[in-house]
Amino acid sequence: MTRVAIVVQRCHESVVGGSEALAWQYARMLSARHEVEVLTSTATEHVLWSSTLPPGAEQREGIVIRRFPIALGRTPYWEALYRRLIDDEAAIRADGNHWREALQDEFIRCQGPHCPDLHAWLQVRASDYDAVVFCTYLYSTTYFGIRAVAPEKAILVPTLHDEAAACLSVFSRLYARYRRRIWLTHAERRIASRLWGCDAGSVLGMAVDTEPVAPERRDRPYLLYCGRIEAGKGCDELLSAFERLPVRGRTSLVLTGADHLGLPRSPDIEFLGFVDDARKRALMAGASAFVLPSRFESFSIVALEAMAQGTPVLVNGQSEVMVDHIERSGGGLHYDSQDDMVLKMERLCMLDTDARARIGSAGRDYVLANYGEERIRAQLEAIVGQAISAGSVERTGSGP
Amino acid sequence: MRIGILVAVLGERDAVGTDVREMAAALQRLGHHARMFASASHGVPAAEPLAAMEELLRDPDAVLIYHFAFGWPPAIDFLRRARCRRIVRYHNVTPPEFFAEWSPEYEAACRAGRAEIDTLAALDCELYLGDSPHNVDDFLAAGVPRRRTAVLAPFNRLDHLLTVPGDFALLDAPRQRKATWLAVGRLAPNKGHLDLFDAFALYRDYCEANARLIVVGSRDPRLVSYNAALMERLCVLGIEADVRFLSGVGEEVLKAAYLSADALVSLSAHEGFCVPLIEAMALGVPVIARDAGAQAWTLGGAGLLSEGADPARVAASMERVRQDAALRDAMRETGFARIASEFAPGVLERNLGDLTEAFR
Amino acid sequence: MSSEYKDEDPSARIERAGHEIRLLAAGLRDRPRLARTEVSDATSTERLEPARLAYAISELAGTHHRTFVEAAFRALLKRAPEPDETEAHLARLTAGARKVEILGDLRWAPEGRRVGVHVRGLRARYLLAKATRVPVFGRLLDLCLDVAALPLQPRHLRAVETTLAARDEATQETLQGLNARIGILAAQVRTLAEQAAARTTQFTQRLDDLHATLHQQALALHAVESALHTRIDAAEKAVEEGRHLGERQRERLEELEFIRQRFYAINHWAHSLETAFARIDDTARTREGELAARAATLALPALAAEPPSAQDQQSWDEAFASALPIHAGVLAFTCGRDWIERLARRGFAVVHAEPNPVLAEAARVEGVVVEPVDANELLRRVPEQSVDGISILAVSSVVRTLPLVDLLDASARVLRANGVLLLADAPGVAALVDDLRGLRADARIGVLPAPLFHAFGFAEARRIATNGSVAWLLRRAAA
Repeated sequence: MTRVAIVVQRCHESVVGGSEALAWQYARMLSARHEVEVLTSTATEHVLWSSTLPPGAEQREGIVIRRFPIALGRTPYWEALYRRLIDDEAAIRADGNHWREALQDEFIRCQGPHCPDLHAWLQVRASDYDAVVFCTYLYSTTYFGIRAVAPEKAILVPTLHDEAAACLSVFSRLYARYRRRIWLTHAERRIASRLWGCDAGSVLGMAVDTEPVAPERRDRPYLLYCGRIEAGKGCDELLSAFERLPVRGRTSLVLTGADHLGLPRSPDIEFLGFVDDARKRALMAGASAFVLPSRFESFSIVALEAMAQGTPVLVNGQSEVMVDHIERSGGGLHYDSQDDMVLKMERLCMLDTDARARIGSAGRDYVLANYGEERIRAQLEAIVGQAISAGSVERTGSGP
Repeated sequence: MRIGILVAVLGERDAVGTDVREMAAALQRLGHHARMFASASHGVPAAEPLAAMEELLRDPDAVLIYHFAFGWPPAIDFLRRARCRRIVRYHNVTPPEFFAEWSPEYEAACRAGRAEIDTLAALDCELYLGDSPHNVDDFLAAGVPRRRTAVLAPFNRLDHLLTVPGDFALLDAPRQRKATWLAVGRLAPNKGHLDLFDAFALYRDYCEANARLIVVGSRDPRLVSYNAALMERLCVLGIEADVRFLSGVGEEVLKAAYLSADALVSLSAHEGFCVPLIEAMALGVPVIARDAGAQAWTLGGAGLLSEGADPARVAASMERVRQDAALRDAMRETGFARIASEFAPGVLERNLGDLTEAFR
Repeated sequence: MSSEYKDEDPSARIERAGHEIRLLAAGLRDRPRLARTEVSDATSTERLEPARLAYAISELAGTHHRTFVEAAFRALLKRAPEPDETEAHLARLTAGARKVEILGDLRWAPEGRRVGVHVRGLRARYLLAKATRVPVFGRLLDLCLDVAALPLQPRHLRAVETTLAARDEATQETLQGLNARIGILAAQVRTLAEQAAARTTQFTQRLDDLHATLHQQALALHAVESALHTRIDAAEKAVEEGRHLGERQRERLEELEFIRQRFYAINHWAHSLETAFARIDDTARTREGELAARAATLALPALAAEPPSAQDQQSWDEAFASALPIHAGVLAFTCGRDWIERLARRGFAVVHAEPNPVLAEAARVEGVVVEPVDANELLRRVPEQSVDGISILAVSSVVRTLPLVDLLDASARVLRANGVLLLADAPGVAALVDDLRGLRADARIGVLPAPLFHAFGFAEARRIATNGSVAWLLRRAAA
């Protein structure tokens, strides 16, 4: 059986994180046809990379998870380097070589999690794997580990953001050699083209649960928000806009997740706290619209889940990723200002049943076409299969 | 297996001391009972006194590894009467001609040390282990059959150097953006510092006017005339304000020096291995070196080499490194690969394990 | 970068660069020299390298006031001045002292002499300055110097005026520059404040991540708690069962304790017995040593008065030496001074093993190493194939403690290829000492057949028979 390794900075059921969730989803998908190993660190948190899990191998759902000890967690030294990176951000964006390469390496290494045993493992055993998937461009596990693997059989899933660290020249030069890439969104691919001068690879993303559920009926029609409730996610703008909504008397705002903002007491605002997945989808199915005011989304699985339930979505026009989803699907609207947000919220609340069904259906079709489990699995298999074939040719000098 | 490691003096931070300590630790991890012996010991872990070695010498099943870096007649006596198996671990002795015009004492000491190569070769030890093929050549020339020789690079503390924080006082020093040359190694006649100053002065005159040179290395107070010659050359070339000497510094400052450098420049005329080369490669710092001794082998194609120490060649190399990002990339990647395949601690431990298996 | 080299192998790129650099280097000195555009970031005092021992006077006298005093101390005494020293010298300058006088005072003070810096041009000018201090003559000299300098005064004054005016302009420019810099800094502060706000948002996001993590862990803890309760119940049941088991084990422990006490008593008795035996052994060894020394003391003068025939030794010596290379390494056992001297005269490197201190001292010859051990011990120590020859003149003394078969094996091991072993059993001091101690053995080498020695690796075995004594000359086989 072919063997595939997935390198990711953390892997544990308690870990909450986008790229970690993606890595585990890919691991489960690939384990149907391959022997999959996840190579990761002993950390469960990403602030200091404290080692909380024992090193060694364990099995979960038939997948081997191999954890390596962390030689260097985040220290005040890295904080000082990070401050210098931010201070020099303008210069680094203008010239990626503003810092000498050795200092760039030092920043990445100290950013962590630095696992020399993982790198040594790959150095010795890369040939035992038929393909190796590396998740997250930014972390030491990918940056230092990927060198041990031949470009033909390495697959890079950058999860790239437009941030200061991404402009360091060592990233663009190293990853230019690894042309098998998986982008989460077209927007991410454009960022890569702008910052790294390379955008080869496939836009794939993650699989979204598309099983339709019975909608939850509440006393009144409602707008829905799911996730962390805080200003950084644009929830203050959401509340302000809802305050000004003309139809407010006839429509509620329902929120789920953790409240870090301090929601006002109001009969129109209903806070349900944490809900399980089934109820979340039922709420999505029953909502007039799902609102996502956040500017910083790299994929936004929650918005796609709402679209999969046939619910129109309203998103922040400053998020390139979300605008892409809306314009490609026709499954909702985006706003460009606070006033525009109020107008678009009202429009969605006032949709008649047919119009709502049309928009919702467009959104659901988009998710089914692009993010259904089978499609993602098939595309992922195709990319991994190409890597396996190429690696086999390189090894034997002929076809498999 | 009982293994004794013998060295004349176990230093705290020198290359030989590091090799002895890390070798002992590696042997322990491989399941052997390893002990260190020396006439004097600095730092930790310390070596045991020589008297404690007698019992091991009498055991035909034991192995004694003698680290030979300079002349030390007591070692000859130990090896001659030992009944155990014997390995000579050779770190090279500087040829005396390098000290001819600077220090008769050093010249005599080096001559005596080189003479011991023949004496040790005649003892017919079971294995002669060199840091590099260059080192092994000395014993082949003394008549040791090739089947009794092997190469094992010195053990190192690269993993530790990678995780030590860099000193910010040096990282944030003025002229950080200007061309920065770095030399690492003690100030001794064979290390080529006079050639380095000539090359740096030429670079400053024709390539970049405000370059700086950082020289990390201890000064030997016994080399009075050589030290004076270095200072005089600085003054004659007019570069004394552009050269910064760092002596007796800790690992944080050393790390910061590497991170601040555009390239490590090593114009040494004689090296048995050259640990700073692998430190630079591990940290991703490009290397410009003279093709002398074992330097070309240690680099394994990762650096820019020049035959001799032609100042123009060295200066032009630095200019090219500064300007050509793709070249720097190639040098760094080749260096990383070289470290991972040849000098990583795990690799050295495996190689040592293979060698000791033959003695079981 | 040319697209031709875009996917170039790294090693090829480095090699290509090496060729290009060679060409570049050839034309490097044809370029125009670069001017230094930046002032060195070292201050005047830092340029005075602590190791430097030679200066020109203009380098030290070119600065003023406090800078001059500091520079003078660092250059001439290789240290910074104490605060009171600085004030004292500034007072001297204010009072009109010449700089060369201060420089000279420092240089030729005891401390300055120890450092020994050479300042070109200082001595003459210092002497002149000191001369102006001599009463009357000095005043006249000073006057003459001042008069000689008069024509230069107006020019000097004009230069001072110009310098002051220039400094005033420079100060104004500096102030303007500072104001501009303050403006830039204020803008930077504003930018920093904005960046700090952005960072705060990021930190807040991280905190939220932590909150979510904590919530997950709280759920996990609850599950663990339930599992723990179940386990505690099971553990309590196990404890009850263990209690019964404990009763039985306590009885067993008491039995074991009784046995342990008995064991200690026996151990103590055995230790006392060992100590007694060791004392007996020591006494026996001491007695043996005394006997051996006494026997040797008696035997030596007796043999000196009536020495055995030297003819045997003569023929053995010739046969043995002719079979050895020049400067051969030789071991000698159970032989007297005569034999040792013969071997030494031939230029061999001899190691003589003699455990009896009296005999060892009697046989001491210059240049010969004496090991105070018996043949068995020495042969064990010597590395294999490291010796050219072995001579044993009283083999019967040796076989008392080392049987002949072991002796021949050990000899074959240490001999190099073509090395020789001389086995003889002649009357001599070793044999006589054995007789006196009642330890005489008989190796009977006279009756041994020659082919016997082949089995031990000796290719040749030659019997040398002389007046009543038998000796064998055995040659080790070639490798």
